[in-house]
Amino acid sequence: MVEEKQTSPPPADAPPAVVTKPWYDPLLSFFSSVHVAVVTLIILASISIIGTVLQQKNIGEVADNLRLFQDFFGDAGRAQRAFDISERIGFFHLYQTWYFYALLGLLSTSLIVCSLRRLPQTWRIMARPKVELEESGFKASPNRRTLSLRLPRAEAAAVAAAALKKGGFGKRESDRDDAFYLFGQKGAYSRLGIYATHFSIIMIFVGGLLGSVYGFKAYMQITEGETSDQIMMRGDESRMATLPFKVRCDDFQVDYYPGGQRPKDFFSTLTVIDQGKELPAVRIEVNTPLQYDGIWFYQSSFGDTGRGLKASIRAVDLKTGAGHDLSFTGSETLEVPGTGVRLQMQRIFPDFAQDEQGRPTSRSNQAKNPVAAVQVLLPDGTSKLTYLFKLRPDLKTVAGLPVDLTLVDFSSLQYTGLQVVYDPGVWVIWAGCTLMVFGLWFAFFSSHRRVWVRLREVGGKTEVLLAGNANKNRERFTEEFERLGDAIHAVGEARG
Amino acid sequence: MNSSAVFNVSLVLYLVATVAYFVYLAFRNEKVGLAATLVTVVGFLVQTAAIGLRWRESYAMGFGHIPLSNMYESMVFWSWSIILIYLIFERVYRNRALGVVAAPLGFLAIASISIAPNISQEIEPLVPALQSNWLTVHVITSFLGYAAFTISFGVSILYLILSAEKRKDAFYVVGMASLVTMFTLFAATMLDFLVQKVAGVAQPHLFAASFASHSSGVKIVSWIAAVGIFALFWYVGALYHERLAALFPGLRILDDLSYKMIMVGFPLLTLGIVTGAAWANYAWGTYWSWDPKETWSLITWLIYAAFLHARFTAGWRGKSTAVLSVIGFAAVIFTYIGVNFVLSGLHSYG
Ligand code: HEM
Repeated sequence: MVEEKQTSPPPADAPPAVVTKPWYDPLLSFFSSVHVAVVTLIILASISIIGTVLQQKNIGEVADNLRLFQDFFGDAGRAQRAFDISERIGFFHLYQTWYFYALLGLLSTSLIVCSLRRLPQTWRIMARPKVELEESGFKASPNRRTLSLRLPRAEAAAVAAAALKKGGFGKRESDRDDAFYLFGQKGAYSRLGIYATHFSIIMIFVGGLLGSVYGFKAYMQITEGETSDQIMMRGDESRMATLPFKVRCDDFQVDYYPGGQRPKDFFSTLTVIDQGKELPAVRIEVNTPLQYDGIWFYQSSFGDTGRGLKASIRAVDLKTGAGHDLSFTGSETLEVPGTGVRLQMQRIFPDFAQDEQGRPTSRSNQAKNPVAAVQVLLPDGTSKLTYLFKLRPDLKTVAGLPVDLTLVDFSSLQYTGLQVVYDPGVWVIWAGCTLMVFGLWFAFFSSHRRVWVRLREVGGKTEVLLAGNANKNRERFTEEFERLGDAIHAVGEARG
Repeated sequence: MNSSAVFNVSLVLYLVATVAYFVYLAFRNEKVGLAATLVTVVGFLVQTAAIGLRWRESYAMGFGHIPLSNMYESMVFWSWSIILIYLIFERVYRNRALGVVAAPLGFLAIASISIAPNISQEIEPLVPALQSNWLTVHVITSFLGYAAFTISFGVSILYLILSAEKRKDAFYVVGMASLVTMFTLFAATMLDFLVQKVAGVAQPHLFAASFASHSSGVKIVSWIAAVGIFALFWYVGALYHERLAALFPGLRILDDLSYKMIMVGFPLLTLGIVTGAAWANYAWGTYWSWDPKETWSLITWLIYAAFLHARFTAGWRGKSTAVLSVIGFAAVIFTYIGVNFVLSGLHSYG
């Protein structure tokens, strides 16, 4: 920052400025102080920690915090008090409290004030550089060099100008009686990188605000073959809302990894029906949502409804070795052809378990451990009840049957679970993020490089003073500066 | 050959490179320096091949995903990133001094994860939500960023230790404490490994043979040993201060290197957070949900933003920014490991 001052010194003959500062000047100074910015960043970081230690509403179980306090204090009374106080001061929804917003507001104000205050000066440095190199500026420059060329001034100036051009510097010049001045700069835009970065933070805040004011997040379930427009608002599960159009789930599918236990991916085929008009069906999967009318549908979960059960049993006649597949859709009785054995489906358990009394039950409607209870009616009029485990085909609960039975397939109607999101701010967020990444790139990896040249005739030769600086990556600029000097020197020698 | 065996080859090469970089610094012998770089490059290529091999193995198992999905794979990638960033740095700035920091860190990252008991090295299938290109880019950029911060941290520790005039200098104590913490954590992991592999006693969890032992005697001895190591390093480090300082590049260079690494890491971490948000938005329509992992990555980001302002604009230099770099790295480690172990541990009431 020191170098800035040297390039735009106040004109020595200007009258001393008498400026009365406006009353709000201390406020401006406060907001544009980098110390205030650093402290705000540190406070934001520290306060955020609380919300990661204590469970937050809508993410975790707030009741867990009481147990956490109990572990910490080892005393139920104090724990309860700590819990109540934390609740009152908003520690369980920290990121939505007024003071968290206030800190973000302070950060934004700081960013805006600071940028607006600095932009004019940055603009001056970029657009209205000082062309003429003065003796003091030369002496203070971090890179400087003096050459002496055996060329007339105009020719030496042409050589220097050509070298600047070749180095990619945009050039300005000023011709005075006693000296000729050249100025070249490149990468001036890199000074705007920081403004872009800071502005992008504001954009992200604005995008987030738009989303939270005008957007919504919800969840919906649709059973295969059914149509719905009912959504359940997130954060307030009892509140239902109605979409302006309907969605039908035509089909739902799950792919499993080898082994058949762990889902690899799941898919829903959805059709949007808007005012009776059907749109083309779209297949969505995890990470590939559907968008209609600004509302996004994300594949998020699935499950069995327990309705429309289908089970398929393979029966192998132990005498002949002939196999038959029998399909059940309810509790019907089917005959195994050629054996006289009939099977009566008693009950299907999608998620088989035993309750405390040891009775078979289903823990859920999810097909986690499908089991069929089948009454086997033998030709002699007796019957036996057997349980078929889909995951353990080797497990036989009854011995001595004339047929070997396995449950080969099991399904019930499934529902697809969809996150439904409307967020008008999300594009502002992505624009802000993109701007931030590019802004950082320019701020860090490009630099504003400037070179000043003064040419003056001294005793039949031309004395060339070179000075230069860069606002970043100064070591590399020093090398570039030296090469530039070498080039001018070499051409000058060759011509002279 | 299976990928774990190939990882071990790169592990050995990084150890050799570490020694070579130290010899290079001690004798300023360009030939040794070149050899150190060559060994590091070969180690890096071997490690790259091992990652590729593991990727292929996952396809053979029917899972088919880039090896960035669990603790083991991400630590390996961390190590790979440290070496990559360092090698690019060495090329661009034609400076080998950081090799003594980067090579051992690259070595430690794979070594500790390879020997830690109860860290699964299996290739596992991915749940559907994790199969996303955004997620892949997110992990790659975040870890490249972490790697740059790791190098900055190593350099900052060096700075704190070497810049001290006196043993009682608080900055010196902070630097030594950070160094000894790293050293002790590695030694404790090594001890677990030895007890499990050599003595044949299965270790139920990390540091079961030392700090987290069920026997309070072992716990107390471990703490005494840790404090003892600290005292030794602290004392000896100051005794040979001059000679140590002569080994390394000047303080001004160290300070600058640390800053440069954060300049590399910050945009990468930013990109990592942004692509993570993009992934979450694609998976369930919420780009930011304030979950502890996200929040900690934001905390880390804020700390480094504070570092940049303190250094670039408020003009802090040297020791104070070095401390900020150490704090930033502590936040990186907490984001990566602490959130999973410490915070989820707080809430695991079965
Ligand atoms: C999360 C918030 C912020 C981020 C991510 C951020 C990012 C940055 C970055 C990356 C730099 C460049 C530093 C360097 O070149 O080493 C910078 C510079 C700067 N920042 Fe920020 N900043 C933030 C907030 C603020 C705030 C609130 C202020 C207001 C006082 C501020 C004032 C400045 C100033 C004055 C500079 C120096 C600009 C120059 O080169 O002239 N920043 N910021």
